[in-house]
Amino acid sequence: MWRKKNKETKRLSFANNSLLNERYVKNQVTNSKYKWWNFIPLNLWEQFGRFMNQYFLLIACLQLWTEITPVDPETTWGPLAFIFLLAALKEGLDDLNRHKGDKKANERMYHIIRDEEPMDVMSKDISVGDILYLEENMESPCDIVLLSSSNEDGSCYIQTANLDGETDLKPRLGLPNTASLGTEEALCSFKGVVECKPPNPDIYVFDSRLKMQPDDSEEDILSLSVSQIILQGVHLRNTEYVYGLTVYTGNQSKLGMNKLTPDTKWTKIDKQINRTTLFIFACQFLFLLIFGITGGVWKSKTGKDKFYLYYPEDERWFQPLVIPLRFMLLMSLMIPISLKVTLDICKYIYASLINWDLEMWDDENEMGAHASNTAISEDLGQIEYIFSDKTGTLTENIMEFKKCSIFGKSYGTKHRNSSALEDPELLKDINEQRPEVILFFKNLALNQSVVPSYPETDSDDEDDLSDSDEEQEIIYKASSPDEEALVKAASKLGIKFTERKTDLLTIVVNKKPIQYQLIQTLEFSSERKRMSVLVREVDSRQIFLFTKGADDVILERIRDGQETTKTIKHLERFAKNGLRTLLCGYRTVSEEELEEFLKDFKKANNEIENRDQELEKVFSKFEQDFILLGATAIEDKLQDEVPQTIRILREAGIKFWMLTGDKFSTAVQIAKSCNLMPYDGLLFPIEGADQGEVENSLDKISEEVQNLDKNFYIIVQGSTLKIALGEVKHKLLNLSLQASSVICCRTTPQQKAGVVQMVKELGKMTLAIGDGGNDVTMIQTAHVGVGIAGREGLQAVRASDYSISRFKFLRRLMLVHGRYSYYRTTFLAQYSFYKSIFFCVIQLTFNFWTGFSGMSFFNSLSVMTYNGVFTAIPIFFFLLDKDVSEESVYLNPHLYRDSSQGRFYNKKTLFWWFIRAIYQGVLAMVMLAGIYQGRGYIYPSDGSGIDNQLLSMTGFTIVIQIQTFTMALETKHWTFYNHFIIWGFLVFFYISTIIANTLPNLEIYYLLFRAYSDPIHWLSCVLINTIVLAPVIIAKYWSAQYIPNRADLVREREVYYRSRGLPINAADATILNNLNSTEGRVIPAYNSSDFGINGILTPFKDCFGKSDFEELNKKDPLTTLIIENIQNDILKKKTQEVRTQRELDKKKKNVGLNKSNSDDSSNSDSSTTASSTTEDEDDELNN
Amino acid sequence: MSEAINKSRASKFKQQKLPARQPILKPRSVIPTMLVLGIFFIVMGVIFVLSVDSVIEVSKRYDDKCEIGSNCTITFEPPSDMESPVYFYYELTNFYQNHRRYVKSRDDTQLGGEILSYEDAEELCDPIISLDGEEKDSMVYQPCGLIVWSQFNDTLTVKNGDEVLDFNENGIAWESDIESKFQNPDPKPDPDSPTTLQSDFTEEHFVIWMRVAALPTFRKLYAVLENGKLEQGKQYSVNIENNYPVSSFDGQKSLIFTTTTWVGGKNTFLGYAYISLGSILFLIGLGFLLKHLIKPRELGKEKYLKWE
Repeated sequence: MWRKKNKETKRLSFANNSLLNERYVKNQVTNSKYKWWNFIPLNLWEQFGRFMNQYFLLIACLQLWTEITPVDPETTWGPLAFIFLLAALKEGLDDLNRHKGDKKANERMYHIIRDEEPMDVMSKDISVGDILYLEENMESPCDIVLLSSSNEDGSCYIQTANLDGETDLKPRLGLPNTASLGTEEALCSFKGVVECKPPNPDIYVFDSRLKMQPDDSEEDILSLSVSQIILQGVHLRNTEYVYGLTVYTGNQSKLGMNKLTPDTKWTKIDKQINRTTLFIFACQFLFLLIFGITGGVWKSKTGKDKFYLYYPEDERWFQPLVIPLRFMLLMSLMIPISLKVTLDICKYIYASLINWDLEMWDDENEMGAHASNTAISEDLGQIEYIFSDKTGTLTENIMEFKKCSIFGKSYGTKHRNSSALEDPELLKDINEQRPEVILFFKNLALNQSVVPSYPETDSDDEDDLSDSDEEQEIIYKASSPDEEALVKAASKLGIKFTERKTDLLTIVVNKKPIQYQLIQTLEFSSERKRMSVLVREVDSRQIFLFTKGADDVILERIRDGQETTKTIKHLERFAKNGLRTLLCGYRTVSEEELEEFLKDFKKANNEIENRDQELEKVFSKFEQDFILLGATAIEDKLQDEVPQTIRILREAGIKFWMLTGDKFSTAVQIAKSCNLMPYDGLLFPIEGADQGEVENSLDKISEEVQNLDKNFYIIVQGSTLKIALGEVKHKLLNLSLQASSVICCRTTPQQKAGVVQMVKELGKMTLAIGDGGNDVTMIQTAHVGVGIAGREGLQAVRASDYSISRFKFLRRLMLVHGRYSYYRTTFLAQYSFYKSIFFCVIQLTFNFWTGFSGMSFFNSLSVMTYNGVFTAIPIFFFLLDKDVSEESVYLNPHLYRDSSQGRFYNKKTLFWWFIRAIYQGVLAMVMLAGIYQGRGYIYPSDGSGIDNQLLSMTGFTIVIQIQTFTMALETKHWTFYNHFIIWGFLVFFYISTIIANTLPNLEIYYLLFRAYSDPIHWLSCVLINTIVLAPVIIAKYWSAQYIPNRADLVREREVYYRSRGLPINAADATILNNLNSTEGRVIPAYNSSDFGINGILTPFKDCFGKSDFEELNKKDPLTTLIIENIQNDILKKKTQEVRTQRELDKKKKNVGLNKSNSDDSSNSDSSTTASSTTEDEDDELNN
Repeated sequence: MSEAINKSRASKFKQQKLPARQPILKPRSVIPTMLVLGIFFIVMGVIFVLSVDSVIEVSKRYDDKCEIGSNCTITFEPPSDMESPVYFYYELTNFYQNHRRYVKSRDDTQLGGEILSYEDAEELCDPIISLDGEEKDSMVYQPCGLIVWSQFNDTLTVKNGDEVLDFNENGIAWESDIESKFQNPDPKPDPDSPTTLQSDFTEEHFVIWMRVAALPTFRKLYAVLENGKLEQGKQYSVNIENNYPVSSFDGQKSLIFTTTTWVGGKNTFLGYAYISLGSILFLIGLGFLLKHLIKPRELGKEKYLKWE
């Protein structure tokens, strides 16, 4: 391998000896790309790296050669310079922001020890060998080796969210030899040397060595590993302070080495447009050859005989190239130079429309949607697969204690929605101080890692304070929302956790404080799936071991012979309702047992290797023989409108997969309650512990589903997924694509990303949505990443392309913004190609009458204004266009398939646009040549014939008219602005040409005054416009009438009803709103389907599906109108009915009447219709 | 929601809620439009053709009857009375005035009266730049360029017997050209100098020639009979000083006498185009109407919204 001479082979970091560290770079972080002096050359260089820019530059340069240029060179130089300027401006502004960010990071102050002296320096001046002092919650500015911390053992906790998106706290442990260096004095005299690898991007490996003294012998060398390193960008948590020796600085840190400029995302439609451009480029080359050769032949066969052309006898060597090059320049307009800029501006506006949208505004969070990536809105319209996180995305991530079962007695189970906290039974039992109930809540209050805190109160409030002392609110700070919910619940019921001092926990029971000494916490881990605390009641000196955890692990640890069936039954019911369940147990511990445990624990804890396993063994031995106290059930509320949103998205033809870290049963429950799968859905789990088993499982399922005419669903666990993503990936993929949905539970962030990657590699358009740090990789992997600005911080949002505050806004983001963006971009792009080709076709056709000499029909001014003004500006207002209304898209989610299946931009549509351009161009030119033929055309008032410039301007006028009418024809949604711009530009054209015609210096001086006073001019305008546009209108009419697509039909329906003043769409929308705004549905939303869109459509189906109505319709227009009015009434009634029904339901629930019956009856009618529509939908999905 | 944000965003434009109309192509609008338009086009076409029919045009080819360099006479008889104004043209065919090489070979500033340097002339007037290709400002052709150099130089005189008819050769060029585009330089080019290709830049035949034709067959106005008429049955003759060679490029030269009507000369193309387009529109409209009557399609019916 080729190496630089002075390449660093190993890095030595000397503490307190800056001389020896001088060769390493300082901690200056640079994310910016340019400096002020290299901006212009570097930016130009970059811009010319793009093929299209090179091409246009070539064209512009060729235009400088007067021999070949058909028009003035400004026609290309002008736009090119403008485009470059715009791009440079954008780059420059972006870089300026990066500069600002860098400056902020670089100028942050840090405390360090250098050369035996403590000092404060800016981040950018930290160098290798400095001993850095970090306080809690500070971000490490560079990579350091942990020496000591505020803890005696030199341990600390860090959060690596900036590196890998993981939010959990990771322990780091200083070596015992350095842990004692707790003071600055000690550190000042520390002379250790760290020897490590040269800077490298591997964040999981840090194999290096530490010498306590520079001259230590080999034997005294201590080895360092990842558990001593704190990387740049990492936050220090739960530790007062640490000291560390700097090893990698600036951009050489592990984070710096990992920094890749994120690839610019190209949308699918961008790629298609690029392909089209290449295709046109190829066509251009073909035409260039054809016309170039024809021109050459004409020249040598005929041209040379024409004395008036005065061809020299012998020509220069380059002469044969002249004609082809002329045609190349003539056709260079075929690729619209402004397309990229136009689309960039449009994309920016799409993004702004998303940012502005008040319908995606969340009052609660005071937040709207935000597009951080302004370039990929069209992709939102092309999504085929959605990968969603569960917690915080589909659910609120607000845990609420809902139900419990204590010693076989269940509370809060009156009906689905009732809470145990309000259950009079439970309140009574607590009032009576029933021991098992109190013990149960003591468990919840003690067995946790929550920190209570009291909000600071103003002195004014002091009087009130004394009165309401007990009422004073305690704020519980918990890392897990589940724990918070449990402690809160206990507190509400009077078993109040009030204080945590190092090893003293205080709870208040019945207004009496009880103190417990915390002997040991047996912490929660995802492997252990339980947490226990060992406490001693201070007064009674009794020792308790409280535990809570997943049902499977707790059940195998309870004392034999206990009655558990009731509890398990309750537990299952809770789980079925989509609640998160835990089992609780306790036992008393004798002093001997405690002694033995502490001895074992100490021994295990001193183990250096396998410490974790040893500890687990000790814990496991100790956590036995529990008495089962009962079960808790916590509800993670579904976000509002989640089932409806998922339903609409699935009706839109999007596959919705759920990837969650939750366990199997919870995942399935949530999937059912949020409409991901029906309650009786066919669910196949993929299982297996090794590749063979997984493969078997896959094969078995594939076989089973082969002849299945039903929808089925797949669920797979993370551990299995890991195996399945290996060798048997194709089988997994095969099966997954057949399934209606796939649920992945217990997945790690990498596995989530792996699943997305798997589907992405198939060429499917993917969207990932999540809210937490564990979704970051998935969000970055998918084509479009959406972050929910939720409770789990902002990491997902920062990594995402779009952020929304509620899941339900995804519907609007995709169905409205995505679809419209796609629709608009496809039109803009195709129209741009069309108008360019159309223009070039005229130019080429004209050359049939010029001896193929590469003559431009239009003059330079026309060429420039055509591309730069008259067609470039009005099309921006196509940004207001809508093919169908927003409401219609919601009501007919199928319409999303228009965009997701690329119906507006494909070979077929392009073909018709190209045909249209060619037909119109050729015909317009032929007509002009016919009307203004040399034999016969006479300007009536003075007898002049036609001249080249007059014909050119007449042609140009007609071209502008054609384009105006074309834009008008293609606009489907006429707002005031559209009228203003489209007709305004035609007027503007006339005014500007009239002004130009009065300027004697211009070529076109006086030309159009002649034209306008000639009846032939106006007659030919009418003729040519009609002849080129009539076929388009006829084709449009025919296809809309007799081979309509979905959008055509929906639009027709909108227009039809609106024209009769029937508020069909308005009614649709009202129903939709009414149904959607019913208060946030809670799990389980058994009959959420009746909220679904098919449920809403049901009244319409009732109204319009009747065949007798249709029969009547045909006969008599008057009857039609009457019937429609009736239908309208029915509709209103239905709406009213639905509304009142809802209100009734609500009231019933509020009153709390015992109404499982009424629930059923109220839902029965709608659910039957809903089920029938479900079948319809299923059939369709199968097709 | 904070008021400020609310207000700044609530515009109908930003919320995409602008009131709008959605025109669609309905049978009720399309079919009548097509039928009416079809009829209108046919009527217009017929009127046009009839108008053009009233134009009397006499065309006489003469390049095959005259030797280059000689004088000859062509006679013609108007088929009916030709009322003034009678326009007199010469027509050239297969002459690519719009050929790129030809069109570009001129300099408008020189024609506007400025004295051209050799460098400028070289750039703009290639290949007819200066006398014998000498690179001197004084040797630059006045004016330079192919168009000037290849000027039509036949002289045509219309006679009735021996009487020269009152065909006016002035006022035939565009006023705008004479006024602001063409100006004699100061001093006026010496007509005898070999560098002078055109001694009077505002000479109207020259000005007309300099307005290059759009298509390879073209007519250029030579003179106008402003008073009187050419009578039916009378024999008129045109005296031609035949200088301009056309055989080398397979061209033809003709003399044209024509009257005009409100739509110009004898060109029925537009009329027939109108009639054909009108007929097609009418027929298609009729087809649509039949289709609509026989098997109508109701608009906006729910049943069409079911698919697959």
